[in-house]
Formats: sequence, structure tokens, C-alpha cells
Amino acid sequence: MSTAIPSADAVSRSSKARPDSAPAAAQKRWIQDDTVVGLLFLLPYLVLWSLFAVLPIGYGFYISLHKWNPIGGSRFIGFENYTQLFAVARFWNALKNTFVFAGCVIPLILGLGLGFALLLHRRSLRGAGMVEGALFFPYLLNVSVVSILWAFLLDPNVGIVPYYMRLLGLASPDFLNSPVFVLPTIAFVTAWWLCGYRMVVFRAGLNAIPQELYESSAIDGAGPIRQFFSITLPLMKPSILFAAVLTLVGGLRTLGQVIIMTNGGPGTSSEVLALYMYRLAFESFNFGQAAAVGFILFAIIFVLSMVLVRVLGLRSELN
Amino acid sequence: MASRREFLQGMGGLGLAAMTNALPRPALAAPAKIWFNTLFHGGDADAMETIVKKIAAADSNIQVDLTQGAWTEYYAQLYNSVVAEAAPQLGIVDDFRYESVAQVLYDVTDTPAGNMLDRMGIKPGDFNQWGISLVGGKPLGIPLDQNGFGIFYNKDIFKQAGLDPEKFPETRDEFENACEAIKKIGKIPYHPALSGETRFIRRAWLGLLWGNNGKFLEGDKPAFNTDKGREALQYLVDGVLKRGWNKPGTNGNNQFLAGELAMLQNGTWFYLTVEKAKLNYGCSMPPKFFERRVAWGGYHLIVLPKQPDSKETIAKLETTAAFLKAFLPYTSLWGEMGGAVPLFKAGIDNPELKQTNTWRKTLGMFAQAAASGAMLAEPRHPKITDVDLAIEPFTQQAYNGTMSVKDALDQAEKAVDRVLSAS
Amino acid sequence: MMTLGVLKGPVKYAVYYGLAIVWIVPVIWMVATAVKPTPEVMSFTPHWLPSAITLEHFRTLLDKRPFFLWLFNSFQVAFWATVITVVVTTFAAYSLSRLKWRGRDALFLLLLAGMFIPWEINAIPLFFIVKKIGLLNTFAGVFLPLSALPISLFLLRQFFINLPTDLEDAARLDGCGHFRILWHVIIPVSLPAYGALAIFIFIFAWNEFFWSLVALQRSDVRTIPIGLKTLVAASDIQYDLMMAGSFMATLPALIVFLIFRRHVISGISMAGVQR
Repeated sequence: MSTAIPSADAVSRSSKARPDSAPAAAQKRWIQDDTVVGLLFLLPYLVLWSLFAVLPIGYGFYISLHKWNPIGGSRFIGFENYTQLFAVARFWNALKNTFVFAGCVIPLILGLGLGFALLLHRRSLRGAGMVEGALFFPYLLNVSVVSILWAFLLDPNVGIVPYYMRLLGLASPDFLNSPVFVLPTIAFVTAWWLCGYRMVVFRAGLNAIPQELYESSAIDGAGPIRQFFSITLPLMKPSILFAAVLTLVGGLRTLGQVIIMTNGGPGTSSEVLALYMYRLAFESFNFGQAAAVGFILFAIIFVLSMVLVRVLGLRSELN
Repeated sequence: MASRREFLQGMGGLGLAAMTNALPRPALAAPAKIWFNTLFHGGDADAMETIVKKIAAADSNIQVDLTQGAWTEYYAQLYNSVVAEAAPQLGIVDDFRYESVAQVLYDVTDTPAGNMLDRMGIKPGDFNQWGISLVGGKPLGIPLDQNGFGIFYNKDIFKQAGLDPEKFPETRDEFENACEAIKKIGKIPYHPALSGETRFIRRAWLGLLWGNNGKFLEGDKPAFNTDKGREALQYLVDGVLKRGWNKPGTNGNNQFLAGELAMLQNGTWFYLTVEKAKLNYGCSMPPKFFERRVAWGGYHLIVLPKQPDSKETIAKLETTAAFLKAFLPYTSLWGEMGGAVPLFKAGIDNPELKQTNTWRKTLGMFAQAAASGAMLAEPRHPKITDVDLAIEPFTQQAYNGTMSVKDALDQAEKAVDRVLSAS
Repeated sequence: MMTLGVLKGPVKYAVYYGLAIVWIVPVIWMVATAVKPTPEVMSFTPHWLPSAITLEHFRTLLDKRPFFLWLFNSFQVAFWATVITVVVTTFAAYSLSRLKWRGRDALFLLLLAGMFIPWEINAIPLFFIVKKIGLLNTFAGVFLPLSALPISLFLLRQFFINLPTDLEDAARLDGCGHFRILWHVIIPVSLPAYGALAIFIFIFAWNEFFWSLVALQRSDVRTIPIGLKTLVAASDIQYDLMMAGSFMATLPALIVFLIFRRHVISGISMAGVQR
């Protein structure tokens, strides 16, 4: 079972270089062609994946070119859905909110995840497992529980967060009802929920860094801060960047927390694209335009992540 | 009480049930069982459940699967279920969402099983305000009730503040003085918008707009961005931002049920909740803030979502007609348990209804308001739902103080213009 | 040796335990609220210790909503998603790691790019596709898309690729076909990976929200996340019932976690790291 960056490449290389058990088998192996079986085994996965992940992309684009009416007839209108969207301030607002939210959530999740991982890394502490468990547990909650719980905690009348803030003499902001605070608040709640997962992944990554590196640098007189910046961070960089891209993808397609905690409010200050799409489809029943928003969001996420993977040199992470 | 037994049964049937539920189901065994899906919750839902049980008990040929649930998902569910050709035979709609789902509803006089009204043995004249069921001249539903806002007030807080608990303020001055008195004893005076959700804020503003003799829509154009509209919104906003009657972002229901809030604007349906909370309360129409004492209102209609073409459909619609016919005598019970004003004449005119606790506490007041035209509904327009959704963000921002009243209504007007002119 | 060598002794314990407690306080508050009498729940000043433990919120909620049905539905979705994932991904991962055919690695990269396709964003067209197949409002409509996630494929394929080939070569020399190799050689050795995969997918499917919201709209097929969402807008549900519902929804995870904490975390660790 391979772990993080340094060893993965090494192990896969070594398995490829492993000598075959006998010359005859080597010959047989070399001309082995499992195309039929290979494709056959891959088929169930391919069918499911194509049907549910790929086909909707094209079909969604097709729908977005129509005034889609599932009951009556649908009418082809070309790119009118798109031009209408681009002319509406609400669309751009949703786009802005989506990126603001992602921009808040990425540093929070990565920062907390990495921070907690570092705190727990190789620490001799009785009950470290319980501490890790407490930090991780929110990840097991589902989005509805997290949203309902935090909406309750932040309620201006009966919530304990505003209450204790007032007690400490701090002015308690309108967390979920202020256009300025709403997105960062939802981002924080999301980070509370999901950082446990990143923490666990980063811990495994930290564990894979050989101790000798730290020991030898300590001999050279490096303190913990130096060690962090010259050893830990560079070696963790690929996996941190990769996590950043994945978190970006997750952040851009967020719907659950927003729809439950604020339903896009106050006004439309927390209406992200996924929510705008949902409301176009299931409140206004404008399926064509909703599909257009969906296609735009999909395109943004996919292109952005592909570009980032290329630019940040993360191809190795995928191998 | 769902319980351990149900849970164990569930676990026990795991494997088999999982398989059968995982895949699409073939046609049901009992062909005439119908599905009635409502958007009710709370007292209304309890009322409907009681009525359906009584009907089923009285006639074993009428079997009804009643599901009730949350309002926000309801219309999407209704529309999509017709799209999926798996719709309930009966549903409920609010008048201000009615036209947005019109195309998935049957004309009740022209269903695959014929004219429902004939089967029920009734005519339009048997209802008050039959006109609300008409969309494009066709009745796409049957009027059930008229409902709307009123002000529920905590009599104990009134007493504490030195106000007469039996005399609710009738003029603006009386109301404002009452609020000051309530503030002095450290209680929260007034919440105009139920749980504070954005649509309730808009409706609170509409009540003030109409009270100010302002107009919402004029044909196909917004007509609310006028002095009267601004005055109404400013008054609503000042309540929470200047006068200290409450704060934005709060949940009035919570405040009222906690005994901290003196006056709460809420709807006819609030009756059962506040009764259960055992508060000493009264209920009244809002005071004359401007020119008249009016409040926002709406209607509930029973509708028949479109069904797939099949023999089964006809049988189900026949059962539906029988159910609806059996429902008619229970419209007063609907009023008594749900708190809304029944529109079936025999229901609202029933003398027994006037003897009930509901009538004494809330319904009598609401019935009189409905009859005198003090409960005003939103204008009928095919796009009224989208108009509402377009306005809400702006009234909410004005209410929160993050946008001026003038800006809010200017932007709302622009948004509504766009909605009404889109094809 | 590492960062923060400054913290020692009781200060260290205070910081760590304090952090853990503060982090988990919301969950504690949820539990406390679920058993508090309503006036204390709605009070404007918090009551940490309930004056009396009451189970009425659970009873009332179960009366008003088909909570156990939601639990059962969630279980079915998560269970079948896990089972089918394991089966389908085993064959696919084996094909992509152990079998040799032209274009194999290129296709794998393509499938991997799927990790960046947010499939639920295509909920609208997917809705119509699933409707055409007749799987709307069925659990299959939800667990089938969940059974072909690129991350599952990635996890298993990485694991398979790193397995030594000796046993396999020997079995092949003995004339074993692919099925037997899978069943006797690959699978038994890969149990840790399967454990990790199962945990990951089960949690993922159990908590799935977006697509379930669109595809499971009928009230009798709702899963827990969707059912809980309907509590929020309901006028007859206040915070006391919402916390009771949240607590009941969390209880299975809490119990499993308390017992199997180490396994869950190491499983997630493996799943995430194999990425």
C-alpha cells in the first residue's frame, strides 16, 4: 500500500522493473493482448460513467438551446438562453458569489486541514486519537445536519455564538443575514465540516516524509520554522496544490449548505450558480435557461481544473 | 408513534425490500387507490389527515394515500411528478403559484373521467369567489379556502405593559404608543414577517402598500414604484431599523413562542401552533397604518394534476370524484382545525362552525375580514410567481438596511419589467 | 523535532484537548438541545444543562415525519452504491492495471479527468435522462450514478498496480482465467483497499444531497439529507424538533465512529491518499 508523493513513483517504477519469473513467461507476457477481455471488464464502468456523467453534458447543452417544455413542445431558440442570462445582473451576481465562496473556502479548508495535521504530526500525546477523532468527526455529518445545526448556532435570538460574542463585549455581526458576512460564514461552516478529511490526507502525506531529513537539518541547526519552510512545505506542495484544485471544484459546485442555511439570501448575496440553476429549474420551471447555467458552470469548473492541473504541474499526482 | 417495531420491520425486510424498491415498480395492486399530496404542514396537515381518515372510514371504496410536506419543495415536486408521469391524483396549490403550474393541471370540468363538478353534484355557485379557480377562463381547480395574515398578540405582555389586552390598537398612533410601552418593559414589540423569510417580508410590504391604496401590478407593468409604495416600504423598514420594534434577521415565530414578542404578524394557519404553545393570545386585523385596515391574503385550491393516458387513470379519477364529493361536508371541519376561511358556502355558513374555539379565537375575525374585503390577494397573472421571486431580494435588502428604500423599489421595478417582458 | 516544540506539559494538553472540545461543541450543543424541554431551547439565554431530559421531541418528530423511512431509504442508496461500486470498479480497475491492451493508459487518464467533472451540475439533463429510463424516484436512479465515480476507480487501480505480480504470474502459468485470478489472488490481497473504498463510498452516498434532491422528490423515497431539509421550511417544526432530527440522523455515524474510529480514519486516509 503506497502512501504519499515520494514513494508512489518509486514503487510503481519498481513494479514495472520487476523481472519476470521465467523466460518463457516473459515471452508470453510481451505479446499478451487482452484487448477483448480488457474492454469487456471495463464495460460496466464505462456504461455507467458515460450514461450518467458524460451524456448529460452534451444533452444539457442541447437542452440549453431550447425553450424546454417537458409537458408541451420545446422550441429551438439557439443561444437566446445564454444571451438572456448574460444580460441579467443576477447571473453575474451568482457567478461572483460562486468565486467569492470558493475563494473563502479553499484557504480555510486547506489551512485548517494542514494546520491540524501539523499539530498532530508525530506528537506524543495521550489521547491523540481522540483529538484527531473530534477534529475529524464533522466530516461524517451530512450537509443538512451541518446546515441546520449552524443556522441554529448563529440565530440572532437563540444562538449561542451571538450570545457569547455579546457577552464578551464583541458586536455580533448578522452572520447569515448580512451581505458582507454571509459567504465567509457559510465558507467557515463548510470548512468546519470538511477539513477533517483534508487533515487525515495531509497527515498521511506528512508521515511519508522521511525523518532523516528533519534529523539532519536539526543537526545543521535548523529550528522548527526553518524546517517547515525548507522541508515540509516543498515536499507537501504538490499534494497541497492538488488538494486546492479538488477543493476548488467542490467549492464551485456547492449547493447544499447555501440552500438550507440562507436559500441565497439575504437578497441574493449568497446565491451561487448551482443554487441559481436549481431555482431557475424548479421554481420558475425554466429548464432551458437552467441547463444553460449548468453548462456554463460545468465548463468553468472543468476547464479551470484542467488548466490548473497542467499549469501547476500536477500530472504526476494523477499517476 | 413510529417506533422500534417499525424499525425492526424495516431492517428485517432489508434485502427483499431493497431489491423491490431499487427498481421501478409495476402497477399497484389496488387499482382505485388514489394519491393526495398536499403542501400542508402543522395544523392544516392535521386537519386534512383527520378528514381523510373519516372519509376512508365511512366508505371503504375510497382509499387515499395522503402525503403532506414542506412548502418549498412542493411545486417542483408537483410539476416534475407530472413530467415523470407519476403524479398524484389530487394536490393543493396557493393562488399565487397556481398559474405557474397551470399547464400540468386538468380542467376540472373536462377530465378523462368527465366533469368533476357534475360527479360531485355541485355547481360554481356553491362556492364563494369561484372566479379564483379560473385560469384563462377555465377552472383548473376547486376553491378550498381563503387564508391570510393577521396580528397575533400576547395578552400577558399587553397587561404587563399597561395596555388593555382586550382592545387591540386600531390606529397607527395607538399601535406606535403600544410599541413604546412594550419596549419599556423590555419585551420586543412587533415582528411583521412571521419567521423572517424573504417572501414574508415582501408580503408584509404588500399589506402596507394596499393599505396605502397603492397598486402592485397594472396589467403587464409594475405599478408599485410610486410614492405610496415607497412610503409603505419605508414604514416597514423603519419598524426594524429606526423604531426598535425588532431587528432584521430574526425569526418572529421563535420570539413569539418564547413569550418575548408582543405582536406577530402571522397567518390563519398559526392558530393550532399558538394554541399548542398555550399562550394567552388574541388575534386581530392590523391597525389602520395608512388608509385602510387590510392584510395580505391568499387562497388554497384543490387541483387535479394531469395523469398518463390509461384505463387505470379513469378508475382513479372516478375514485377521486367520490372522494371530493365526500369531502364537501367536511369543509367546516377544515376551517375549524386549519384556521382558514372555507370557500364552500355550506361550509362557511355552517352554524356549528361559529360555536367552535377556532371561530372565537381567530376564525371569526378572519371570516369577517374576508367577507369585507380586508384580506387582499395578489393580482392574477401568469407570471406572478416570477414577479414575486424577482422582488423579494430587494425588499429583503431594504428591510436589512443594506439598500435604501428608493434603490430597492427601483431595482425591483426593473427586475419585474424584465420578467414581464421576457417571452 | 517538528514545529511547535514550545508546547509542553499541561499547557500542551490544555491546548489540544481545548481545541478538540471547542471543535466538537456544536455537536454537543445539538445533543443537549435535542433532549431539552422546549422553553429552554427557545430561551434567549442558553441553558447548557437541561433541567430535565425529555424524549418528547423525538416522539413528536417521529409522529410528524417518517423518519425511519428516510433512514431506511438512505441505507438502501448507500448500500447498493457501495456494493455496485465494488463490483464494477473491481473489473474496471483490473482491466486498467493488470490487463494489457492498446490505449489502456490513455483511457485511464481520460476517465481520471472525470474527477473534475462535477456530475451533479448536470442535474437538469440528468433528470430528463433518468426520467426516460424510468428510474426517476427510484433508488437505482441515485445509486447507479454513484457507482461509477472516478475516485473509486483511481483508488482501486492504484492499489492493484502496486501489487506484486508473482502470485498472478504463477496462477496464470497454472492456466487460471481472469475470473479465478481475480477471485483467488487479487481480491483477497486487496481487502484493505476494499475496506477503504467501502467506507468512503458508503459515507459519500449516505450524505449525497444535490442529486437526491432532484431525483427523489416523492415523499416516500426521500433520504435523510432531503428529509431533514424539508424540516427547515416547515412552519410546525421549530429548533427543538430540528435538533432531535439532526441527532437521530447523526446517531448511526456517531456509534460507528465511536467503535471503529481508527478503522474509519485509516480507511479515509488510504482512500484520500490514493486519491
